[in-house]
This record gives sequence, structure tokens and C-alpha cells, in this order.
Amino acid sequence: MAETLSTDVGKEVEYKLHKLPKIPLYEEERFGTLKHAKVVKVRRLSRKYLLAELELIEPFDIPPGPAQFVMIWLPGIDYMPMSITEYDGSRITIFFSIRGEGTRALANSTGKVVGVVGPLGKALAINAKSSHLLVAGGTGLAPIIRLAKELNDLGLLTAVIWGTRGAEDVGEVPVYFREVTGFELSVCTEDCSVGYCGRATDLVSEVLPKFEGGEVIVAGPNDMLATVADLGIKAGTDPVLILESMVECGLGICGSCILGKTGLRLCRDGPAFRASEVMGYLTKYLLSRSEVE
Amino acid sequence: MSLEVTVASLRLKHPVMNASGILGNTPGGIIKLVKLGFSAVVTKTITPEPREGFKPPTIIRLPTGGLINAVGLANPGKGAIKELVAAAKELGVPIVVSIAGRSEAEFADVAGEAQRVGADALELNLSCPHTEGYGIELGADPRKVRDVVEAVASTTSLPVLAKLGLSDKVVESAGKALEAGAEGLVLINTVKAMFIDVYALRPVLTAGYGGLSGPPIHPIAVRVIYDVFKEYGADIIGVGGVFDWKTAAEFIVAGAKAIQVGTALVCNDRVVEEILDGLRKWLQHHNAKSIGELVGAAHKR
Repeated sequence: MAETLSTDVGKEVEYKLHKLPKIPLYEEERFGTLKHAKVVKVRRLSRKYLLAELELIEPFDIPPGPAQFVMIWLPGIDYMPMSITEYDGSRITIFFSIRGEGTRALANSTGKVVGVVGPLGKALAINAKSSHLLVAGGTGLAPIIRLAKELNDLGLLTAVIWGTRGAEDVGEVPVYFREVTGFELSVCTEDCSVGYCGRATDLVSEVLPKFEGGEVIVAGPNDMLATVADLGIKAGTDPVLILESMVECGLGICGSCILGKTGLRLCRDGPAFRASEVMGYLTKYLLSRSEVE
Repeated sequence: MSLEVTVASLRLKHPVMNASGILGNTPGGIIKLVKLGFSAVVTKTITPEPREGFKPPTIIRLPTGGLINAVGLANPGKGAIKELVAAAKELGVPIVVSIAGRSEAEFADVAGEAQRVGADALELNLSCPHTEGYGIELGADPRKVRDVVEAVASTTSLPVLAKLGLSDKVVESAGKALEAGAEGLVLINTVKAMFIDVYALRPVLTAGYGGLSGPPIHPIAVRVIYDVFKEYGADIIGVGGVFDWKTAAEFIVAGAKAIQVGTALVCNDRVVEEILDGLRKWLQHHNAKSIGELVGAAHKR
């Protein structure tokens, strides 16, 4: 399976997924100017999670790769980063929950035209020599769906673990996940109402010892990333973490998504990092979590 | 061959600094700027109190090239200067603190803090094009420029750089800044502009107006540097649309001793390295031993 990607910095980058070296981890960074898309459908998958389908009026300059994101502009309301869940050349799908004014407006935008800037961030290059364990928390599932599909197509997927609060939040999410990826989602609920009883990180700690030498890719809130990173490093792997945080410009210059003293910018140097690169920044989340527990 | 330059008493190992507004608002951002290779780092413009700035979108790429931004002077306030300076010092890189205020007293207040915590120089933002009370109306009035520069220069021992924007009176303002004690001039700031979305039928930036940066303003900056150098032969740091060694060299030939780079970082994290490689070859081409030999060379014709 080959895929050709180009950048806007004057060079064509061609790569074959199955020939990618393990390091460097990423494809070259790519950028875009403001494009427009029509919100054709918003589907509610559960009490908490929604799916917005956007039809691109102007195509992206280059196709988005795994883990890349877009800034969605809802004129007069918000300009917010959103991971790309599905992409088929003319449509993108966004998996999200209502967290504020912007996401509420997106949920009610069917038929409207919105601004889209992207794809932003570095695409995660798939390690085609390894099996993969994918882990997601909440809306962290958004980039994981895309990765799961590509990895399952390549026969490199071992398990996908997703954690959320309870059955009402789960709803049709696993059905949608299977439709897109052809793979079964391992659901964990904190209230034990469906699937594995406990946090996704609890299941990870059970599974990880049996998953020798494979790649672990995690997306979710920082405390979850910190926990999986810690588990992974102790088990001798260096998980890939897909971070979420305040992204303001998406271009790497405003400084709002700097990851502490690592000096790394989530929007340009990420959003995916090796755990070892960002542990200095994430340790505080590990501590804050253990205080709560 | 050395690319070392001294501009406004600042000794730099090479002439490429970052433009204010790029990443210089947190210690992590300062660390990133040093990693990107700049010879000195310039902070985001700091005001006495923290400012939230405008809601996003605040920075966006333009289909016609470059960027437009209206961040609204969002900054952590003067209390944060200490940790920004400390981050640069730890890495052994000079730090220029960009400052702004609504009055001479506010400028002097932030300047005092910067000096107290060990900054290497001050850059007076006399030309922010999108924030009322702080901006371009100041830089376009030569008397106000003189008053602000004097208020700061008379109370600090740090080198003072006056950053001016495009206006009909930019050459006159530059003269007043020098008269009032500025050791150098930073030319130019972003140019007031607007980007309207034809689907939404409204300006894209939350603030409406913004500042245009990047290659579209480079020729404007070259003209201003040329005119100001011709008039005063002053120490100039050129800024506006530099994205490679040639656009940097053009500033030098017009009269700049050093260069600041901002927008180019959106496309190219290796821009500093590439500019320096190109400048070295360019010096060889002209049999020049230092950048200084070519500063203002276009005026000798």
C-alpha cells in the first residue's frame, strides 16, 4: 500500500507505508491556508459523543496524515483545534463532545459553511514492522480511529482500548468504530456499566506485560497519557503520545501550546511525541493523578 | 569567517534574531527560540499588567502570502520578565525585552523591571497596528516617539531600540528616536491590514484589523531601512518578510546590521541555519571579511 504525500515547502515527499523507517517518527510538517467546508451531517453516537461530517468546498493542499488536525473556524464564535477522524479526499469526519461554545455551535451547524485550516501538525508515520496497541480516553478516540483503520488494513493491530465514564457515553461508539476500522473496540467504563470494569489505564497495565516489543500509541487527557507513558517506559517501551492542549494559532509561533521547558510546540512539533521526549512536561499530571486516587 | 555583529552595543555571534511576538512569552518559548538558532531572543511585547488579548482567530495564513495577526498584545505582564530572562541566561543567549505601555510611565515601569532582572536590551514597541492606545498612532507621531524614548532612555542603562512601523513620518520618527537616546532602530513592524472571508462575509480576525507580516511587506521594509539609513546612518535591525539569505542580505545592503525573522518560521524551522549558510557564501562572493563591510552597500552606488 503506497501513499503519496506532498508538502507546501517546495518538496514532494513520497513514501510507502510499509517501508517507513522507525526513526524519524514523523513525516514532514505541512500547512495550509483557510479553506471552507460545509457541515453536511452531525450524528449523535451517544449522550456525550458526536460525529460531524464536513464536505470540503476547497480541497486540502495535501492529504492529512494520521494524528494531524485542523483548526475549525465558526465565524464570530470560535477557532478550535479538532483531530481528523476520517478523510476520503473530499470529506472529513470529526469525532467530538460538547465542551464549550465552539463545540456546541459545531453540533448545531448542519448546512452551514465553516472555515477549516489544515492539515496541521506532523503526521505520524506508521511503524510497519511492529504490532500496535492503541489506547484512547474520551475524545482522544478521534485520532485513534484513523490510525486503527490504517493499522488494521496493514494487519498490524493487536488491540484498541477506549475508556469513558459509563454505558450512556458509550452508546453507538463501538458500532461506529467497527464500521470504520473493521476492528473491535475494547471498551472500559469507570462506572463498570459496560465492558471492562475500570479505567483504560487499568486495562493497559494488565495487557502491557503480554505485549512485548510492540508500539503503544495513546491519545487522551494528560493524566492518562502520563500514566500510560509511565507504564510503558517501565515495561521497556517508549509509547507515542498524542497530546491535546490549548492550540491558538496552529502555526507554531504564538507560543500557547508550548509544553513547558521541553520547548516543544504541540501544534508544530507534535501533536504526537515519544513519551521520553515529553515526560518532563507530563510528570506533573502523573503526580496530580496519584494524589486523587 | 565570522558572522559576528555588534548592533546597538549588543554583541551577537551572528545577525539573525527572532522578531518580537514569536514564541517569546514563556520560558519554554525562549528555549525553543534558542534551539531554532537565533543569536539573541526577543520577548513578546510586555506591558505592566497581564493582558488576555483577543479571542482566536488571532493569527492566520493569507492566500496572498504571509500572515495577518491581531493578538491584542496578549502577554503575561512585567512579572514574567524575570523567568524569561532567566531562561535565556541559562542558555547563554542575550535577551531583548520588547515593551509597550499606554503612557511614558508605563514604558518606563516595564523597562525598569527588565533592567532589574538582567535583560540585555529593550525594544520599544511603538507600532503595534491593532491594539488601541498602544500602537501605530504612537509611532506615527514623531513627538510622542521622542517623549517615550526619552522617558525610557533617561532611566535605563540598557541599550534602547525603537521599533517603528510604516507611516508617512517613519523617517522623522526614526530621527526623533535617535535624538531621544535610542541606540538602534528596529524597522519595520507589521503593516495594518485586513483579511475578509467571502463566505462568512466578515473579517477573519476577531479584532477585524490586523498586522500583515511575511514576504508581502519585505519590499516596504527595504525601502524604510534604505531611507532611514541614508538619513542617519544609524544602527538598524531590519525586520519584515525575511525568509532566506537573499531577503536578509537585501536588508544588510539597504543599511541593516542585524535581522529579525518571524513569519518564515511558519514554513521553515531551519530558516536561521539556511540564512547563515547563505550569508557566509555571499560574504565570500564579495570578498568581505564581515557583515559590517556590506552594511549599507547599496548607498555607495
